[in-house]
Amino acid sequence: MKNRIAAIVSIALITIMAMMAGWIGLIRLTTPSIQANWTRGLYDRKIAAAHQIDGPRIFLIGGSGTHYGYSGADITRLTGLQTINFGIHAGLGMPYLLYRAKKVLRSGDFAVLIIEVPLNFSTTPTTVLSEFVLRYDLRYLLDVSLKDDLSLLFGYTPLDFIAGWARSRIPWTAEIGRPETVGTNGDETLEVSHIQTPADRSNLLNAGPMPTWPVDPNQPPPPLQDFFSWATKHNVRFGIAWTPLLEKSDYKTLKYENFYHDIENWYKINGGVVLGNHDEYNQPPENMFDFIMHANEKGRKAASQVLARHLSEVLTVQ
Amino acid sequence: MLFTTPQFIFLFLPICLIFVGLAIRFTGMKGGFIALSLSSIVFYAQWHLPDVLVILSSIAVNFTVAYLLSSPKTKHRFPILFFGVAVNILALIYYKYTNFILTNFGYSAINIILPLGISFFTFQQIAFIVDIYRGDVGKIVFSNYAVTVLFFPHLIAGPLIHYKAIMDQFERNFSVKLTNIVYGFSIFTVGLAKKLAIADPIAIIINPIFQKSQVAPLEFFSAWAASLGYTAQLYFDFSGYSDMAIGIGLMFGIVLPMNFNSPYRSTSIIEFWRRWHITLSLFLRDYLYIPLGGNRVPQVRWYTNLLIVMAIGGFWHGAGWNFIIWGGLHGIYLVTNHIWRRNIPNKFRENYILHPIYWAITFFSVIFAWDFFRAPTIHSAINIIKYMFCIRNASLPGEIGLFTHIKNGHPFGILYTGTGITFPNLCSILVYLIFGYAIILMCPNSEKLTGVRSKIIGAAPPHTFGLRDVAQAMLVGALLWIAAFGVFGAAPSEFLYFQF
Repeated sequence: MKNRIAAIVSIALITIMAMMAGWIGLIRLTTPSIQANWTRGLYDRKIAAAHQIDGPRIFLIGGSGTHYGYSGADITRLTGLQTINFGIHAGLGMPYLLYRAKKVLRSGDFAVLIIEVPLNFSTTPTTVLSEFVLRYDLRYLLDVSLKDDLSLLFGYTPLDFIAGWARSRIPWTAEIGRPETVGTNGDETLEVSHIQTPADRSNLLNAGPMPTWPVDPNQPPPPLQDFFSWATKHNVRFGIAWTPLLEKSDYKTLKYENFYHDIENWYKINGGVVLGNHDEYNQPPENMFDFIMHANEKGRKAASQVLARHLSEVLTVQ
Repeated sequence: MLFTTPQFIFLFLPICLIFVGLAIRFTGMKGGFIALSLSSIVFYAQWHLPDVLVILSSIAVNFTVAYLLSSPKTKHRFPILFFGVAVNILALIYYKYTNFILTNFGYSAINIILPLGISFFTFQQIAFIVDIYRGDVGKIVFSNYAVTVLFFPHLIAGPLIHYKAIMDQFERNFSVKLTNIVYGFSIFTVGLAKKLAIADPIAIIINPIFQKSQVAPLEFFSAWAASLGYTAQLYFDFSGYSDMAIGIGLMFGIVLPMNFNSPYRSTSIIEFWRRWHITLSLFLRDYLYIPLGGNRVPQVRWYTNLLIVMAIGGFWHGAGWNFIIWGGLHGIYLVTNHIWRRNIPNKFRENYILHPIYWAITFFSVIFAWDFFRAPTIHSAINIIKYMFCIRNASLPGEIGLFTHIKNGHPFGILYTGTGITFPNLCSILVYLIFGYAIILMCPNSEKLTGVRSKIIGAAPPHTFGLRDVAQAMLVGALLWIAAFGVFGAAPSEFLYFQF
């Protein structure tokens, strides 16, 4: 009887593995979703840009807030150090953004972590990441825990697949969401203010302030702590700057000051530098695009100047 | 703790099986009952700790009533039975219907938390004391009684069980064996896949349509998507839960009664109620319909009995007029069906050529009634049904017009302006409905699929490991794989019948 049960269990397990292999094969053979395609294109172009540079580089690491919010070219011009905008898609989550950054960074580089604040407080894999990993980066599965492996393997559901397939049938005519607009420093070159719609503007003006989360100032999230250790070991300096955020009076209150201060402390206690106050990076509505963390070209320029100034101070001192 | 969560599947269930298995081995059957009761209390306490007091009080009161009823010294048995039934019904009214009554009389609602599964365990205990009163149940022991009520696989949403039938099984078959676990797990997997791979994805698409129906007119295709989608969702959700309950029951050697038998294949409403939520139908028949006189009364009273029973059945599901309307509609359907049976000659009723028409009438009658069951308000249900017949209001996503080059207004005045369901949602719901209804209408149901009842406890397994076993193992693997998307990939969603 035991042999019989062992046979049943074995066949069931083999079936699960075969179904999973077939599923991954199906995903990889079909047209990617718009966001997966955009994300892959961003990585390809930004990594290629990074490899073009010899010597130390400044890396701006974050999600789309960094992609739209900073200009590597401006910072290069203002600091004299080659800067790569490594802002990708916040939907990938902080652990994956840092995982990919580690693959490009090398000794002597300076990593400016401009991670969207909410990403510090949710490190479970998302559907966006699951699709991206299953399509393009299966090796990532070897780098995470079994729990995250299961979330990644089963996080992109048949329903997501059907809806993504349907969306991919629709010709993508928008100017944004295209990797082709990425410039030599990994920057977004599109002047997004020209394509802002009245709905975008209305959403922006009606948006509430970003929420806060409980923070232990002495305990960074594990992926961030891992990155700090890795960077120290590999002679990569690091610091924190902030995503340009739609300005609100709330952010000047003690509650937000303490919140930001606690996050900065994660970096300070691990040997990182704080590149200015969060409030310096916030932008008025006319400098923003379609979301409270997406700056337009004016916001991009303003935030880049602030960051370049603080970087120059740090680099001069060191 | 839902049956579909990793905490239940990988933590609670294995620990519980080991705990109960060890208790049976070292302390005997009685120890096993106590271990299973304790485990069930832990399971129930996960939802809302104070509810444990409610269910334990209910067990204590009902056991006392049953004890008095079964005692040969008791003289006034009927008042005791009346008291027992009244206490159960009053408890149900207090927890479930107080706010309905208050708000209908213009008072504001008060804060009452509905204990999970109260409708189920209350009905089951009413059946128990009535059975004792009728003399259908002999000697009762508290630990035996408690375990039949608390038995966690059926505690929250059934199947409703009779004490005598289940106790016989506990006394004869209660055990934790590897064979039973494997067979039980196979049927559990079917339920898991029904719930997570079909019911939940459908809900993601149709829930916004039901929300919209409260405040705005619906579009033709959205209204049909909502109605057909919910009909499939409810079946896969509730029958999935029942399969999981039956599967877990089998792991302990207990065969819980079948609750669904391909109900949407029925060709009459009478047949539908013999196939849908079977244990509730039987309960309503045995403890309400027959005591009211059943069909052994004059015709008008018989039909009135049917209407009363179905309206009460509807009200049992939820404290709202929409549930009463749902029950009332089914009462009207049943009366119509009985009138039809009495007046139409057999050759028409049993003509197989006409069966597809009978099926269609039955199926669409059920669908319209589900709209009242699901919609948040009566207005919203009427909105959905109204626009299911309003082809003038039909609008498909613009992408369809783009791909097919069909001009607006062709055919039947359909516009390609996308005022209803979005293109990705339309594609998704079409895939899920085709897949779901193919299973509902063409595939064998869970019992036949897994052949579990033929392998029941104690029956010697065949000597050879045949192709059928290989196919079943592959099926279990495939179902586990598809269910894993719901277990690991998304936040768990409650079973629909937990609210009742």
